[in-house]
Amino acid sequence: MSKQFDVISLGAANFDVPVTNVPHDIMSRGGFHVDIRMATGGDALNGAISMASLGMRAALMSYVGCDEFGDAVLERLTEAKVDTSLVIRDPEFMTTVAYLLIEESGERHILKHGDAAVTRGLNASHVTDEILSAARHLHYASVNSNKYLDGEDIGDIFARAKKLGLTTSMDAGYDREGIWLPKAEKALYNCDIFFPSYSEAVPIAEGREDLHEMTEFFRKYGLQYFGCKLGAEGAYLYDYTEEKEYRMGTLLRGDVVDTTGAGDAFFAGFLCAYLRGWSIEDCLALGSAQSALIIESVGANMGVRDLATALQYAKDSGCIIEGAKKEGLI
Amino acid sequence: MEKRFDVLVVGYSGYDLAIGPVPQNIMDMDSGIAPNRIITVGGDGINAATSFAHLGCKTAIATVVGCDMFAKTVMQHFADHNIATDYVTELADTPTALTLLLIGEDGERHCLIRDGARTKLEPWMIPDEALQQSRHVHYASFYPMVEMDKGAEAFFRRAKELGLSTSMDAVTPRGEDHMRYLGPTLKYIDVFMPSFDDAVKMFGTDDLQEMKAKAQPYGMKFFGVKLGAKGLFMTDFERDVFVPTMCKGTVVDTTGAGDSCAAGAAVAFLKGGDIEACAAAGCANAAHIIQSFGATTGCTTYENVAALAKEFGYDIP
Repeated sequence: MSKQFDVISLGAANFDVPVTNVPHDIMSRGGFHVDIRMATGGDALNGAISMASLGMRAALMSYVGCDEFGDAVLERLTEAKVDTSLVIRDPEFMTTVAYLLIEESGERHILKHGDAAVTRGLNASHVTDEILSAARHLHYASVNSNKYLDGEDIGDIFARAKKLGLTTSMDAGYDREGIWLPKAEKALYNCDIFFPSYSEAVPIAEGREDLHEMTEFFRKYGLQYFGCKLGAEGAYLYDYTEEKEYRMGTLLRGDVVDTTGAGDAFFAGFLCAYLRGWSIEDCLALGSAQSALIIESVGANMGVRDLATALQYAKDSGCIIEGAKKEGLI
Repeated sequence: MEKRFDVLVVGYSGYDLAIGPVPQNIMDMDSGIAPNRIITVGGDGINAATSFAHLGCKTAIATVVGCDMFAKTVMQHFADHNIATDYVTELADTPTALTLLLIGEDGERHCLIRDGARTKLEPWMIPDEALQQSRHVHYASFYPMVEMDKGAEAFFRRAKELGLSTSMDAVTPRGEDHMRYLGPTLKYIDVFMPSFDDAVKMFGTDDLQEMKAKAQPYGMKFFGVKLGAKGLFMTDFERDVFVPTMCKGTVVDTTGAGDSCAAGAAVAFLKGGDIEACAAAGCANAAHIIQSFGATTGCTTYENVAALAKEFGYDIP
């Protein structure tokens, strides 16, 4: 039976306020004229928008307040053709807003509202079997960032997802509490694709910095793939079924404008190819192409482009995505 | 013929986002948390218009906003406070004015200001009909709206031709020639009430009598200088009055105090009040504002303003 969604992207949906030209000594001054822009952000939102742009039927499951920032988040999602029926709105909470205080040098300092909607509101009881049954794949965008989802709760959600026949994936965020592995561990036993950034992978792997040591550390969890996003150096992936290692260099050709959201876009591209049944090489290439398009634009999700554009970008960077070629897409 | 509006307010409107407490060393951190957030609308135009409306005036505002989520909040504020928006211009390519207020751990405010639509009001955006339909026009903020300032003399001359009474406030003068556009406009202004620091810059003196002497040739009827916690000085160039601050409780937030003082004085003027009554009404209105957080949450009725003025020994019309 055909599912309603290809992917449910579970996690954070923010409103971002990038503020440029902030003086370093602002906390000693009365006032200063700056440029303030508005954008949406959040790991799960960025990923869902990327996935939808690539032609996937993507739904975002997140939690926002009933405020103007929540309205703006919903508007952006609708504009990007992301299904919003699983976004919960609660008048008791404030939509998470992240103020990016950016100095002239480019150095950023992120100021967030504490106690905001997504970290307090979203919990396992919201992720019902009925909701899971509507999707082919569940993607948890940011383990370590959601107080009432991490640990046992996300472990339970992933276990139910697997029983219901979904494939699963997980990314990781920064753990302010410094707990790391215990927050992710229960879910790892029912996770097909675990693909954090290197800086988060190290503490989750209990301090292991070598990619091969990390790979052996995560073997016991029964993952299909363990990957590591390596920033400008591309990506590393290990296929436990084939016992094979893969490396993907960056496909970025233009200037680095803004790396915000690059990891979310990479995962979206990867999942798009994965759910189409394309090879691992194709998954890594499409992830890299989608990530490069984001990096060449300002903002975490304004640089998203459709599948044809991402495929062409990869091709122009010297990488033919074979699965797309077989389907006549390039 | 009865006019549709008692007061047309000309000024700027924006959105204030106050967050705190912000870690004092946030600019040395990768990330930090500010647990509290308060959203208010702000801007001289909004503050004054809200005061006028609560004081019982049929009020319209001429201002500029963007076409964004913050404009929706501003427009909702106008609707909630019965301020007519016939003369609000929405600019598609300019964001609404926005101030991000970082409240430090010590309670001090540090403002990150995006002007946006704040400075974009121009005379052609206010049709003659707006003046024809009003009894009084209040210019809430001379200096930020450069094009409006350039056209202010002609605008107020027309207001006078149509029989309106007029009042004006100002913010900190910019540039060198402070009186270039303000000077020729003042002869069409009935009540002019800058704050003390701004008046020092305008007139080049911190002595009130010298300020009065320098202001008189410009032709205004009433000249006032807001003195903050010390109250208000006003003169009609025959008699001087000092009215003290009328705040009986705790000062919570002085944002908007000047705007509400000017509005209160203007309403008393509109009702035929003399110099002392206008000053008392201004101080009483400001006292209500500063005992609440935000520039407009303390707005109150004219009856309450009169009652407070009475407690301090002043009768207002």
